[in-house]
Amino acid sequence: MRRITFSLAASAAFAAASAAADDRSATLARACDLAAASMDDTARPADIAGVALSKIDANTAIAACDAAIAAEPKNPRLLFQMARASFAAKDYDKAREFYERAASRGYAAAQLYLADLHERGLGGAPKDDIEAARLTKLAADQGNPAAQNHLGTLYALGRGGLPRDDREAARLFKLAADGVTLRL
Amino acid sequence: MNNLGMFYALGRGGLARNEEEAERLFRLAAAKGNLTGRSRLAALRDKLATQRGAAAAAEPAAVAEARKREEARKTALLDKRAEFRQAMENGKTERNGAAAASRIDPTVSQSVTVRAHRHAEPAVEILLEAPPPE
Repeated sequence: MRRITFSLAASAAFAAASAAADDRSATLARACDLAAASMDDTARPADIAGVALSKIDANTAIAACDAAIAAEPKNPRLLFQMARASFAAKDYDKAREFYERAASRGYAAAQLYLADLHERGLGGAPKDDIEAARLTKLAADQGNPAAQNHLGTLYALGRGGLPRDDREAARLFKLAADGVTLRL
Repeated sequence: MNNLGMFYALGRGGLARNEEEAERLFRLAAAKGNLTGRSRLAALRDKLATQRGAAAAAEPAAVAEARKREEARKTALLDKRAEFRQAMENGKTERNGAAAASRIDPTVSQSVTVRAHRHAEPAVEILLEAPPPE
């Protein structure tokens, strides 16, 4: 009987500790979200508006996202937001590293932003329109409206190794507009 | 939304040209704080206002022009009727003259052309043959 009581108490303590850790992780993640979430990221929490890159307080965001990643090292949203915070601090190498980590986990917004680095040749990424288009398409195929819009632009201009195709561009612009409207 | 708006504004990508839809999309983009959306919305509104203003200003002129054209058409019709009557009279005279001339000189043309008009229809040439030499 005493053993059962001890076991139950241990389980309860473990559950409580686990819940506390989850709460702590959620609190840290929320701080990172508030500081560096992107409006282009449809996977951000619904109650987080997102911050424009130019409005990110880099020091606050880096500290918040650092702490959040320490608690959840594999969370691609936090990795992506750390990349944005680093970009805001003009640390493009670190931004690219974190974008790549998030993108390799299939995070659409990170794929789109990594594509932007390739388009502009920032953060040690070679300027590569074709790689940028490939990454943009990966994100667009996941239904990211910003990526659909950008891919449409590439089709409209015939860039990134894509054929110039106004109809495909219009289709993508419509998809993007519908996605954005739904989220408004 | 801006890009889709531009495609609607230009009628590109198989989309029918639709400036109202373009305006709606630019307005949505602007409402989200998109600066490009704001500037395109402003530009499109300027353009539409200019077009609407020009259409409103042009309307009385167009009406006046239409009235003028109608009056000209009626006058021309009356003139043409008179001309036709005159031509018929002349034709008779000329035919008679030609017939008389041909009797005198067989090298004189034996046909007379009278230009006649029916109502407001385009000019129709009727070839009135001169009567055969008697």
